[in-house]
Amino acid sequence: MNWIPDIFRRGKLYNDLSEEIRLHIEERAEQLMREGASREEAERKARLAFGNRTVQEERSREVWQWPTLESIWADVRLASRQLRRSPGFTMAAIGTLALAIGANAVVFSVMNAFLLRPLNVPQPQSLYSLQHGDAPDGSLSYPDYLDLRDRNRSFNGLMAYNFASTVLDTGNNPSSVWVQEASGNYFDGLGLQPYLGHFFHARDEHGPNSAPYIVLTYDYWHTRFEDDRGVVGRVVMVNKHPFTILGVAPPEFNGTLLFFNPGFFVPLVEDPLLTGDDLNARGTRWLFQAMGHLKPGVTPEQAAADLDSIGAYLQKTYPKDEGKMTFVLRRPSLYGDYLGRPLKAFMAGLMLLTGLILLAACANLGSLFAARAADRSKEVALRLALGSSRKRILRGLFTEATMISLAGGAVGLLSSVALLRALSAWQPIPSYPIHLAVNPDAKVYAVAVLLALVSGLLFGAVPVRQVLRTNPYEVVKAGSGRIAGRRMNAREVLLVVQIAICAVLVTSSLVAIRGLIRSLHDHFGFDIENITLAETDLGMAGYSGDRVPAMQKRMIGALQALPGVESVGLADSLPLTVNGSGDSIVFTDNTSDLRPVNAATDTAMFHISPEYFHAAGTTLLSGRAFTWQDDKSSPQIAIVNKEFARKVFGSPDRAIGHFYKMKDGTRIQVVGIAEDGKYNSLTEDPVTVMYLPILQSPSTSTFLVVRTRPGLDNSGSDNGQLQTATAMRNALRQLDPGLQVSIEARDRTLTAVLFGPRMATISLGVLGVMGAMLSITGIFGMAAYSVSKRLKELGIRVALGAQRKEVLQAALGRAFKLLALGSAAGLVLGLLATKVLAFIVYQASPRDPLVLAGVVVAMAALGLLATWIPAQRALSVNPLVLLREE
Amino acid sequence: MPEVNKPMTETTSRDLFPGALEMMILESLRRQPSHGYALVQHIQQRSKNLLQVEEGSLYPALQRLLKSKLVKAQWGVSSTNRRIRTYQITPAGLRHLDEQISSFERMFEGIALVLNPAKATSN
Repeated sequence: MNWIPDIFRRGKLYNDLSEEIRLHIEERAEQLMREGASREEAERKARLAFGNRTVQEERSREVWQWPTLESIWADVRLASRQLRRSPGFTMAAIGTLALAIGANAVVFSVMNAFLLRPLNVPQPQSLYSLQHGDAPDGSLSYPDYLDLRDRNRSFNGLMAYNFASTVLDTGNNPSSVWVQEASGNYFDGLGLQPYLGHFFHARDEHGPNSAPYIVLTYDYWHTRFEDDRGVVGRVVMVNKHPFTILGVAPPEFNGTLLFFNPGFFVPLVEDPLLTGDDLNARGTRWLFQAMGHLKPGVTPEQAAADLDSIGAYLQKTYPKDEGKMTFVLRRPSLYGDYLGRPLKAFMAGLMLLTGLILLAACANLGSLFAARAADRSKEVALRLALGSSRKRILRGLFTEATMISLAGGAVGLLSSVALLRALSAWQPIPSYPIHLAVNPDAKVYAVAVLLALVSGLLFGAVPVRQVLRTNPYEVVKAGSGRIAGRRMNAREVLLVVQIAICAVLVTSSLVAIRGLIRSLHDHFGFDIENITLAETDLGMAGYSGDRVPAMQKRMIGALQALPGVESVGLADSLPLTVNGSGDSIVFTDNTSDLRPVNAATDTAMFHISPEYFHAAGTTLLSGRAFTWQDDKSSPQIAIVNKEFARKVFGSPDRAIGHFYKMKDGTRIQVVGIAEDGKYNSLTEDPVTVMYLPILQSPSTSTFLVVRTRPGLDNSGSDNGQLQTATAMRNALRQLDPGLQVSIEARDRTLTAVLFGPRMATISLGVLGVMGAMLSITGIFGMAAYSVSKRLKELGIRVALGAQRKEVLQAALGRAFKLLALGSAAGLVLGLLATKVLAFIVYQASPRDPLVLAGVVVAMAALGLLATWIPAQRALSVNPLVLLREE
Repeated sequence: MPEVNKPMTETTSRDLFPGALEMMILESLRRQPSHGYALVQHIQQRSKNLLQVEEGSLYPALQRLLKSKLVKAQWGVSSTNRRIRTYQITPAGLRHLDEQISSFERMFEGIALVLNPAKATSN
């Protein structure tokens, strides 16, 4: 291993060698001159006799080199010199690739975090959640859960949980916090160990409200209790009831539902105390989700069959409460198919689109490289003529490509990491603990580097054929004008492909944006403008029984008295909020066997005050509104929406004055019909809805809908909203200082519902912009190159009297033809692709003339923008200067 | 040594087998230390111009010998007052040459036997 000292002696060795060879040739020449040759003749003959001096010298040097690595290093140095010589090209190439790789890294990272990475618990692969066979929903009643837990033979313990919004008070500092109510076996079933203190266990549960314990999440302990290790054993008030802090959950564990990070855990048996649900009601499915580890050797299908048989048994045993109950097993982290399916579809679509971006970038860089290779064909030919091997030249080209791809990959990855960090820290929906933990991990880095290398190979391979076919003699003879011809076609095909891809991206982003804009201006069955909401739960503030409606009336009165307030309505829940509404099955009046299987429909249910419709802006189509006289002592009545009337009574006309039955057999008379709207999501199918008088079935959950007069105190502007909100807060505080009220403008509450579509639109919009940028650089590159290649020809045309139009056509006609071809192909593909979008983006209709026109205009504008500079250059051709040049 | 042998230039690889040039250089240097130009002259004269050695191909071979410490080089001035780099065979070079020559002779004998068996056996 004497190469190490060799490396340091090398400079001298090489100098000696060159000197020696020079002297050799000199000596030979002198010898020849002595034999009578002229000096010139002698020198020529001496060189001929010596052979290819460069090759021999290089070969002599190679003796001292560490072969592969060093020649690669030499290639790298040569390539970086070449790249530095054309900084514009280098920056453009790196930038293009950084964009494409960055986009891919971000999308992959999100997909990795949500879909690929398993839950952060031991043995996540055997953990499955229950989902109903007939709907992507896992809700259960508590007795159902107990039966399923105790009767199944497939799970190592079945756990269940639910979410609730509560108020935590550690001593005169009440604050709202989301809590996960978990079954006693939750932590043990997941196999977790506490970070501090201990967990609650199955043995702690002894019926309703028997286990007033709290386990804090690490994050909440960190922020709210400032890492105080003394919290264990402390008693705090939750909804004004004492709870003991048992311990702190391990860091990085935020419950078993991604996105949603609760503040702490309480035993499920405490639910009646916190939210008022009935643990014994078999018919009310309020548990959010049940899940468990499959026993070894049990497949999900076997387990589902096992659960189905329990479901059949329950249906037979409790026909009054239970409908058909079948199950499928899904992963718990995205609430089974509910979030999982759309997210998978969307991420797959997004991954495809970003893949296309990368492909477009590669096509872009490929044609740049081809153009560069064509420009350098003279150099290549010279090197070939001087004895360089084609392999060596190709290796140089690939080295350049790889260096650019790695640099682009690094820049892209760094920016994507910054973006992902920001995304992870972001809390998109105020008042909900929604987090998108999308920090990149090793997998993301590996994918980014791999993508960079693969794309380097892809675009580096484009000029290969060109180099292999270079004939040194032809090129040196012909000058640079002759390399056009067939080889241009490969680049043109690449350009068309690239433009098509970009048009796909532009189309889909326009479709998405248009859909979102439409969805924002739609009527959802209630007004958004001039409405402010106040939300509270009187149960959390200690109200119960008759005190609840009394307090609610006082609240309405207080808000009604505020200046600028037009009307105030009250409801126990509101459409298009995250909590959603209650629901219930109903029967036609002539159904006598009230089993769930005979139900007419499962309908959403809102309990409202008389002024609700006016305040919310929901139109009453016919019949009457409620009055304050519709209380417990008067006959049970309801207002239903049009869809309900159609589904239960056959037509809206036959509904008014007629009856339907509730689960418990109560007959309810329909007194009015309200318009249809959107209740849970913007993309839902028509939903049946019944409105019931709040006084006939009181609820502590209180939403106050406050309509302010339009124009007054600039409502709509943030300032106006703020004033209204402050006035409302003060008014309610005067009634009861202990009330936890959250006040928000109605359009703000749509944030949660619109979150998905908005994210989709933003991501598609970004991809569209990237696509547009790529097509600009692509067309620009092509147009600029063809203009510069044909400058001489254009000069001759001008000299012969060509008009501006003709010059432009000659220079750019081809680029525009390619643009049109690519755009048309992209438009068709894009329209096909947007069918997929319709799942996520509301009203994402590809057959929208505005979108079609938009794409055409956008692509034409891109074309104009990209060819502007080359066109100017073509027009400013001065034939005299040009013809003088060569 | 043979494994360090890079393929020779296209023109000489036809004429010489790997290691032949090195062997001839070492043999020439054993007789008399000399510089590159003189080595070429010497080899061409001795081979009566049967071997068409491209002059340049001498240098990679010399570098290989230098690297393996079979020869050593020194700058100096020739009798004709030229600056020259004189190569001299080392003891290791001498040993290596003997081994090479004997192995070459064995190989040559083998080849001769295959090419002309009758003559070889009658010998």
